[in-house]
Amino acid sequence: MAASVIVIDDDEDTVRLFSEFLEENKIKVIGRGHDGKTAVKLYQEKKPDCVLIDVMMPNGSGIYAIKKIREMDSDVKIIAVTGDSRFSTEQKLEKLKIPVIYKPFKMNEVIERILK
Amino acid sequence: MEINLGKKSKFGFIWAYSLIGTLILISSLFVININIGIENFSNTISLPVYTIIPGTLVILSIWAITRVHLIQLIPKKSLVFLALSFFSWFIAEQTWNLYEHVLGIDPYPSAADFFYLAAPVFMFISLIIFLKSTKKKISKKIILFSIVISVVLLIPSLVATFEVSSEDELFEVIIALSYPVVDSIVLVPSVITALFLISNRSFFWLMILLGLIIMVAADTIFLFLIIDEAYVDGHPVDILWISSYTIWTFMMFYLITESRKYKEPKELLPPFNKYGSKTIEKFGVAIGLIVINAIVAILLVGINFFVYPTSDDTILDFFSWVLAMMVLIFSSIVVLLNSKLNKTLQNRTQQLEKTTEELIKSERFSAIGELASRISHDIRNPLSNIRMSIELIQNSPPETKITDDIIKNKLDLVTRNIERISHQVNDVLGFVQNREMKKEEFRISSCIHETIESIHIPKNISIQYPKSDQLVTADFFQLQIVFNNLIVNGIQAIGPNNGRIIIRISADKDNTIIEIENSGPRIPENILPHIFESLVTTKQVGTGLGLVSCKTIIENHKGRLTVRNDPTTFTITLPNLTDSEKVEKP
Repeated sequence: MAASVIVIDDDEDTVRLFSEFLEENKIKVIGRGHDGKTAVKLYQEKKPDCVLIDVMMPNGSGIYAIKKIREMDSDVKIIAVTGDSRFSTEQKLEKLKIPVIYKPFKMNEVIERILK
Repeated sequence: MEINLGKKSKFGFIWAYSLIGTLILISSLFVININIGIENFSNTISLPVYTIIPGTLVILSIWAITRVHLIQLIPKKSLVFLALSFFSWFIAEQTWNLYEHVLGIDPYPSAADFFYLAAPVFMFISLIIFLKSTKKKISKKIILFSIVISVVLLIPSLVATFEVSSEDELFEVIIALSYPVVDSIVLVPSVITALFLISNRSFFWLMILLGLIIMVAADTIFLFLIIDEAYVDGHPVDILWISSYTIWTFMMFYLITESRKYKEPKELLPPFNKYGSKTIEKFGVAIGLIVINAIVAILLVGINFFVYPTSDDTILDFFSWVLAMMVLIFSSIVVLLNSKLNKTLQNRTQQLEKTTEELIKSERFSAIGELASRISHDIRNPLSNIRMSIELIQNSPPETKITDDIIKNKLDLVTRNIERISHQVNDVLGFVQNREMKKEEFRISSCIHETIESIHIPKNISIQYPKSDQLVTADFFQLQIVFNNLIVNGIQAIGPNNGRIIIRISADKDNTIIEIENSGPRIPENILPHIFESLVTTKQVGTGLGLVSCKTIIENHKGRLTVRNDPTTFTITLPNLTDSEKVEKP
């Protein structure tokens, strides 16, 4: 099954590499963004199967975007990909029942999560 | 401290004249009374003079004690005993007043004698403490000399007293003999102090001793007057006593005005706090109330036994006792409440101290935690990019041909992300390390060029180098850190869009000015005032330490680092060093 995703991270290199890798693994990257507000807008427009999103971002954090997207669609698969390992962030994500992958991660781990 | 009357300040003159004026005025009143006679002199002049002057002396002494931490002319304990001696004299005079003017009796021995005798003893202790504090070695010759003088002066008084009192009771004889004895005892340290003051003139002590000598002289004269039964209230010998009290009163005032030259430290006063305020807190109210109670009791007993000794007026008795009890109860309540309040206050203070300490600790920890999590976040991001770049090459599907271009592209990515990590680490090190400044003279453009060479400049960004140049004397390495931070910040602000960084160098008479402008977005207004504070960052890839380090470095060079928007421009202003400064700090 070829899944479609949007990739949101304020780090340009991360978005570029992530997209390249996902495409190579037959996962369609249908949207890219660098902040929380763009993430919400992209989700509204593209309705992807999965959202890969960073947490610490300017202009609307990952948590903000996750809450907004969940309001629109409570079943959508969202995976947080972050380097932010603060306990408070972990707690917030746990409360929202969002699985999290910490940077630096193994690529295959991400693929598994998306396809699971 | 050597302070001469009237020489150091105008104020000295004013109060020297006041002292002399007061002495002349009082003496004149007594002289007029003796020669012409003033009606009801005893009650209208003698009584108030003997109340007001010693009273003022006591009040000023207490005032001086409250300022003891600012007083340098006299050690604290010495001042306390000096005040005690004045207090004794005050009580003695008031008891005497009570007998003489109110009750019209002349009991001997009485409470007044006790206080009259106690006062010189306190003054003796005060002098000894003062002498000890000077840490001057007093030779045995001086001590012997002082003792001899005192004994010589003591003998005639002793002989005269003994001859007259031989028919009296033993206790009365002892009391009578005690006067010349205590006077001569206090003379010993006085003579030593006087000798000591010859080489080390202290106006304050000279005057205190003058007062004491006048007092001793008055006592001696009084003794012979009593023997001849020639003393009456308003006798010239009174002028001597009053003079002593007046001189001491002015000296206490002098002590207070001297202490006003020193400003109160803003924080709690450690020396005063250590002993003074705690002691006052603990015993101040209690002692004050005991004194008040004692005075009330003496007055009541005095009224009951002396004014109406034969009266059967039980109502007066009753009210006296009720009044005494009420005062006692009130005093106990005040003492209890005071001690309770003190304890509560102490507990609160301790709690507050503990909480503050914990707060500081937790704030420090939270700052460290914030910094640590930010650093880890900022290192995880580029690390993740490096890993992805490598994995993309390693795990590329067999059917995909990896070209040299792809590899070069990925290696560029790796390099860029390694640089990012190294920049973060430098930021933190620049912030935590307090490197010693090594100033040298160099061209500022050389420092900028060398910095830019070490930075990866993306293709979308052009750097416009400065057109002019300037010679500066600064720490080359530290300025590199500043330029590196400001240029990398600019690159990160511009991001993937096309942009440019413009560097300008200019100079005026006093300063060299370096401007680093970038075409990136403006810094949000709410961040701008805090941009040089630690952990403040607009970027997700910043520690929030870079600009703090920059500011610290520039300020260590006695310069300024400022920022403005439209376009975003950081301005470094470095002062031009004079030739002498360059030599001093090579």
